[in-house]
Amino acid sequence: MFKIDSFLAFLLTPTGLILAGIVIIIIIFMTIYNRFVALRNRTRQAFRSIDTYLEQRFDALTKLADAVASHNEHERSTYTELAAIRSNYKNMTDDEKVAASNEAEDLKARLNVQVENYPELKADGLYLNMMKTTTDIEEKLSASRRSYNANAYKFNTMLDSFPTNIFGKMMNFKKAEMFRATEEKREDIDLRARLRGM
Amino acid sequence: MFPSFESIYPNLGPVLEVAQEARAEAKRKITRNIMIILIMWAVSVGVMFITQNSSIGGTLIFIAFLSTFLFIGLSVRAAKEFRSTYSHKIVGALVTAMFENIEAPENEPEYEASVKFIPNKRIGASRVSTSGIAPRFDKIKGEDYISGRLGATTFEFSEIELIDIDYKKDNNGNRKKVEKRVFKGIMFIADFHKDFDGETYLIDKKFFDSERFLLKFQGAFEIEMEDIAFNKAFRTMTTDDIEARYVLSSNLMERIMEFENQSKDEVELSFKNSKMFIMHKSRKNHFEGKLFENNDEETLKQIYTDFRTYFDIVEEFRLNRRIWSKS
Repeated sequence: MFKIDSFLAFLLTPTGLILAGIVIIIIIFMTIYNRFVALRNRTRQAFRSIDTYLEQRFDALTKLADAVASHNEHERSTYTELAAIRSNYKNMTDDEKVAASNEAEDLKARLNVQVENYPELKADGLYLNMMKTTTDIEEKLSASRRSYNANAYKFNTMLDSFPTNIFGKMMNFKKAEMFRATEEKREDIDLRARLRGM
Repeated sequence: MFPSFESIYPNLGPVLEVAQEARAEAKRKITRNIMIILIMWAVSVGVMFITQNSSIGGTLIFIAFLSTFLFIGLSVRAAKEFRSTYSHKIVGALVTAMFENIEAPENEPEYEASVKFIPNKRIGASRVSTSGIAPRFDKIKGEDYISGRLGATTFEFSEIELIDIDYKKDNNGNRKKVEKRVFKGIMFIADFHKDFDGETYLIDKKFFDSERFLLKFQGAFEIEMEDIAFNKAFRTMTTDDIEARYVLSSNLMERIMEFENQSKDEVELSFKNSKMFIMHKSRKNHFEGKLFENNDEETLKQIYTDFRTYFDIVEEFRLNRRIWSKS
């Protein structure tokens, strides 16, 4: 039968101390490894969500542009440009996707100006629904970016801090790239904060 | 949006007379009962002294003793009757007046505002359990159930008291039932303006937090939000961190912080099944009349303020803004 006294006596022998040390190191190693993996997976999941929502945003913006173009054929160029980006989106590299996303921002701004010329379109139920869908996707996109950055920040901090950095190097984990707001985006955020929108 | 208390108070004139009558009637009954008790004791003790007969005196004292319980019971019933009349007639009229005189927001001609107040009903136990922030309980009590709609948002709240029942053995080895109150306050539930599938909890930061371990066991994990002050006030647990950030926009976090700072007692929130649940600890009884306080204006003003605390959540938290694609 297992006796606690003899077990404690064994633990105090040199062999016991070495074994206990090894067990403790394995437990610490496992905990840190699991933490790294959990953060890396959450970062990847957030990145995939960003990709999905970017794609959905393209769909929503293309539909919006189509609605504007159906009011006036002269406005079809925005729709054509958005549709062209959307059709190639799946085959783009990550860098190309970021560039496409920035381009979509410009096209969206152009779309907003175009819509201002058609008050009847602005009041249309279908258009309002499309706007709601776009807002919803943009909120989800923003949440995914915030989530990505929060997890990437934690992951990178673990890679920089002692003693987790030792384990991180041993496990060959690489730092995650953070999303940075462009200058225009920063101005947009400041303006939103001032207006205290939604 | 809601009318001021000063603007609706004059309209409550007729029901306030009912309150005064109910109060006078209850006080009259209580005074009569106290008088009967005093007379019974005086007669019993007096007869015992005069007759010096212990059997007659003892019998009379026994009768006085039983009568004391009976008339105290009748007095408690009179006080309850007053509170019930006050809730049904006066508090009901107050809340109806608040909603009848509500000012619809600009550009929202189809804005709908309705309310139902049921003083002897409470939020159901299953809804309390669903929130995920209620402590473990075996028994639930409650009153002052309010449900309604403000614009596109449906809401409900009531006072609740949660009791945990434990069985302990006394020195003789007998099993003894021990009831412990684990929560008293308001449970508020409202339709949230965004659709979501995951679960997000904002719980109070405690040193030893059994709630946190329970939520972890159910699959939630802790995340840190961008707002440092928010992280100091709440522990954010979620089953989906992207959705948690979708639900908790910067502005909502700011408003939750304001609500938390304004309330003296503990506030915990959860977001589940596209609904928002708030558990607000409070020791006082919020929506009822005071028998020994004749200043109804002051009492009703306090009740009005308490109502506003919860009705305003819909507006303060922007739950009515359906600029998202929620159907």
